[in-house]
Amino acid sequence: MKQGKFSRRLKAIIIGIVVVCIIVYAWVIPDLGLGIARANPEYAAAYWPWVIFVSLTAVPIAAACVLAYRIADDIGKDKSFTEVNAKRLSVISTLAAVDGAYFWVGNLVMCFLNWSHPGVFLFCHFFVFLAAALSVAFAALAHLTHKAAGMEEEQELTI
Amino acid sequence: MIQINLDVMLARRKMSVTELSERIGITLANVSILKNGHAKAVKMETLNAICRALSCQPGDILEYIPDKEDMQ
Repeated sequence: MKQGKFSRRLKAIIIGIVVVCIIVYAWVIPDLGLGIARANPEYAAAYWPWVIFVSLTAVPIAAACVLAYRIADDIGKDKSFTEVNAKRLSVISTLAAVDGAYFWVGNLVMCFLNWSHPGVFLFCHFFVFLAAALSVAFAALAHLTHKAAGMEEEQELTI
Repeated sequence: MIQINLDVMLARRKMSVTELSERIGITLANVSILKNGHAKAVKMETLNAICRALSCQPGDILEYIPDKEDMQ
């Protein structure tokens, strides 16, 4: 696959992720929360704290999408292996780790405040492990990109 | 450190950088990188071509200068 085509495909995937996130955060989560609050009036007071807490998890995702879009743009310009992209991947890795940690701590706090069910806390581990896996994958990619950037620079300066 | 004395040899042979780049088949930009000491490595093939074009030895182009660390 040519770089331009690959770059466009990556951008389309990132835009798709952003659209799905907007739908999930703006419609699915508030609607799901409303359904739970209606079915369980004892949790009705926890509706807005939950919506705010979950909405804040979108901030690192949005930042990661912006960085991923810039990387995709650089791939199209044949500037894949650069220190800038290695740094961007490293930041995405950190964002995934921070988001996972925030989600886990937040769920724990919600449990202690009796605004959640232990089953929900157990279920949140699925997303925490997903964030941890993404963090590790992006950290590995950042390391490889950093190494490749060094090799490319050395190759370019070999006369 | 290794110092590149390409400019000295070019002056001795009264040859321009453009002429050298044409003779050795390397772009002017890459010859400039080499001349200014920004190159990280030199291919044997390039060294051979430069020595042939300038009728000199590798030692005429490359010179070892001790660093501060080497002095210590």
